[in-house]
Amino acid sequence: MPAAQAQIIPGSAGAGGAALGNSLLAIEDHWATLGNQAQLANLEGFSAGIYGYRPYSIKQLNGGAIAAAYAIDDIGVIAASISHFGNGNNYGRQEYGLSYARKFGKARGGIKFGLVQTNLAEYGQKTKFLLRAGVAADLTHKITAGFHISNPTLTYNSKNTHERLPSTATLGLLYHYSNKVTTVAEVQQEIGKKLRLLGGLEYHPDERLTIRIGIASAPIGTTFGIGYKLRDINLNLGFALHSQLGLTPNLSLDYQTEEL
Amino acid sequence: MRFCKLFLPLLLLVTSAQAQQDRQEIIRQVLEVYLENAEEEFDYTEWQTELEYWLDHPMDLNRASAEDLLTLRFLDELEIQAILFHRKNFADFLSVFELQAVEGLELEKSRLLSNFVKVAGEYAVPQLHTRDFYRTGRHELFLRYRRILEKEKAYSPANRKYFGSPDYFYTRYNYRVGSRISYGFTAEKDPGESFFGSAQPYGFDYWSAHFYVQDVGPLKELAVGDYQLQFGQGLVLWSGLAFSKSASAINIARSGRDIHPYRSANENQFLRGAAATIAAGNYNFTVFASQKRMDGNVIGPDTAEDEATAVFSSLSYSGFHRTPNEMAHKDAISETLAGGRMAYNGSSFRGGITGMWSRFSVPFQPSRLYNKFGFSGDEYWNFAADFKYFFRNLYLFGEVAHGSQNATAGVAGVLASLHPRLDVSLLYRHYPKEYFSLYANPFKEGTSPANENGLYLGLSSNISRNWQLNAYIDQFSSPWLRYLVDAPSRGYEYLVDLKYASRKRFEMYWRYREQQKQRNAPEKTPVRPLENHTRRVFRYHIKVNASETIALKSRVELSQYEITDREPENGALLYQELRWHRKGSRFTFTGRYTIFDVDGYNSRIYVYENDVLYAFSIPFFQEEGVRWYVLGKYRLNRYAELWLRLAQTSLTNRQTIGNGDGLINAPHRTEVKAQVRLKF
Repeated sequence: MPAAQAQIIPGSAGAGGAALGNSLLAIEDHWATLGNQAQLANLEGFSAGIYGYRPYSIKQLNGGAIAAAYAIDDIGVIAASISHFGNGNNYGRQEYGLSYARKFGKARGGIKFGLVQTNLAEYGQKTKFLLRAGVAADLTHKITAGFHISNPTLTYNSKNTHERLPSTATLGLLYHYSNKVTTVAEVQQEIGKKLRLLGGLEYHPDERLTIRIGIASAPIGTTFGIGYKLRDINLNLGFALHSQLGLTPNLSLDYQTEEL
Repeated sequence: MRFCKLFLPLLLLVTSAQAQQDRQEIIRQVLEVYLENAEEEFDYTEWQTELEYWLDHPMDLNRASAEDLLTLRFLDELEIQAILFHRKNFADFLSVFELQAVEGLELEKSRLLSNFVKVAGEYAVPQLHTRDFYRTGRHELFLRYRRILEKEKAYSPANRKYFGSPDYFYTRYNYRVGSRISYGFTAEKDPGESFFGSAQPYGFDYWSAHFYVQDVGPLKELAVGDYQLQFGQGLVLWSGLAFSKSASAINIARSGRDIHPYRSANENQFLRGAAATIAAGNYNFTVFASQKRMDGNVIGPDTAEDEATAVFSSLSYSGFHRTPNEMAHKDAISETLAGGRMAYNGSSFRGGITGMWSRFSVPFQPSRLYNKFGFSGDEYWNFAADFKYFFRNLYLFGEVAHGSQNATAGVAGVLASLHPRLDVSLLYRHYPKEYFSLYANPFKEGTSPANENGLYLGLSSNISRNWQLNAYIDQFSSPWLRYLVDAPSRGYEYLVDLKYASRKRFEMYWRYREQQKQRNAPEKTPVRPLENHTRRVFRYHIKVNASETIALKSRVELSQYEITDREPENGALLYQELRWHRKGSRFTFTGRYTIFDVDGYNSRIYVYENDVLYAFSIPFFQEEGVRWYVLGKYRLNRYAELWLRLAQTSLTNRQTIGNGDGLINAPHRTEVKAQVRLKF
């Protein structure tokens, strides 16, 4: 979970995103609702999935999400997600999100409205409204560029403690070597933190199998994973190896209506 | 591809102009990829000898096996497979320039390779007739001398500490018939060692000799005297050169040479005795035995003869025997080693099992907590199984070893050619804290393959015709203590290398490397916390072929060493190099001027310098000052070549240079080196 610092709810855009160094732009299924929402725009039909992870293999830190997306002809794609992180009794954070994305020629844009709920055992509960938005464009048939912002309104979690929810901007490039190999590189800046570099490589040896590797800096981490598709069900496993805290396993199980 | 062949004459025309390069410059180009990342002086003699041999006797590209190509070492398994695939699918090569059409082999590598291969008609396997000895055999004799001109503390009359003079002598004689027969000897006297004096009546302090022959009767290989063994991924036996991480991010798989004659002057990395391989079809059977004496710190009984109660606490690898104390450690331990290997060599699958046993004359008794779980006693054995497998666009490799330490160590990896312009590599290793094999040298971060787990990811991509990207990241952990690390620890290292090469005129690269490891905090508390030590190095390097005769090289290197929450140490270094060689001229000149400003030892900067043939200089820089060197090579005639090198480091912020026994009471150190090679 190398991106823990950069996200309001730790975790990635599904196990696929976790295996790709936590990059946002490379995820183009319904988990793009947790990544760059613009990438939802290419979806067709209905898809949904469930995702879980265990940061540094520590049971008390479990997190997870569910997400679903539906494409409506001539209107765009709408997606809904619920993410959760933490131990219910002492500390927990939930986000309820609703996303919308659509195409504009070779470009696409997406936006997400979220409600972030923080529970602290002795301090009660707090709910905040949060905005995320992204754009992506195919520069050539091989190169896609994307930009994403999270919490541009600099929403406070608590004005008394001057604690803000993280605000992050991410600039990314996708490069398609071939229809079997895609690489991604992203630069991410969270206000008040070190600049991070994220990178990943996705390889499809055949139609069913996907192999992913990735890296992240600050903190340094290596990620890797595997995906297997059986008809309309897609199982993805992702692992992130933090340089000092160890291994975070990620798992997501997805359903996609079969293409017509 | 047939289309390509039609255009070959054109391709030939374009490239042949640059085909005639200086031989030693070609070898240097090969070595530099590895040397430029090296942070210790290693003996590259074996590799260089091999490259020189193939330059003189290029291998037939249409007959060369994967093993032949591997001896060059600068090609990785995927590239070799790409060449063999090309040959198999598009018929024999018409010219070495067709290498540029091999998919998956980058342009620069194909150019480099074209120097070591040829396209011949009929390939005649050399038979071992007496007349061949005279026809193709080659004698080679090296004489080398080196000395520091200023007086170091240990040589001053008041503090005389060493037996001998500050002169360094080296000589090597070798007779070779191709790669089929080799015999010769190497001898060396280090500075400070006695030469025909009381402490060393045999002249040189170090002697080595070898005899090696290939393909005699049922014997595929036979080595008597000093030899090296390289098996599998190096988990049990791998003496000699082995790379782990370099700017060549894909080249991480070991490809063993089995038995190899030993011609170097490194005083430890070899075996002494005999080794032989018998081939039967696709199977090879190897046996080996070795007995030699090693330097070590033996503690125990007062009389050296009574070994029964003696133990040794460390082995000494310096090879120096300059003082009574160093002489006392010399040859203090006798090591006996024996074993065997069975290997299967199929076309896509190769595998082997290796077994070895070793015994020391004196038991080893570790004295530190960090090697509490490591080897102790006087005897150990190991068994290992290794494999290599080509599967579609993947090259898989690995080795598992288990031994008397009751620990199982393993290393496995894959090289994948995902696209003609994109290769990736992945390697996982698990070396338990108990694992021990003295000659093991698998892919690793630490000094020995024990107490280490790690995951390595590498990537190499030809982004365009001119741009190449190499990158790797390696994460490692030690579940037990290490030297100066009193707790389990973790770390990482990554490198990004971006290279731009124009067709002929110039090439440049930008390289960034960062490494983080944990070390004890300096506080003397009962429980010492660990701190993160981060080392960062940035380099910009440019090489310009200014004219037919002049080549220029410039470099800027910046370093930083940071310990958690403390002010970092910084370093900077710049150099300019000029190399002059006119085609047909007997004279070659290289000179370099370096200026440096480095805060301290932690932020030191390593630089590879040109040296006389087969010698290597990778000095490191700290303090403030300048360094220059000039190197001249003169070819007297077809039998003799002469080298002369003069180098000086001057410090501007100190009155002395060096420390301990090497302290010089002046702010400069000057080294002179001379070498003669006779070939006949």
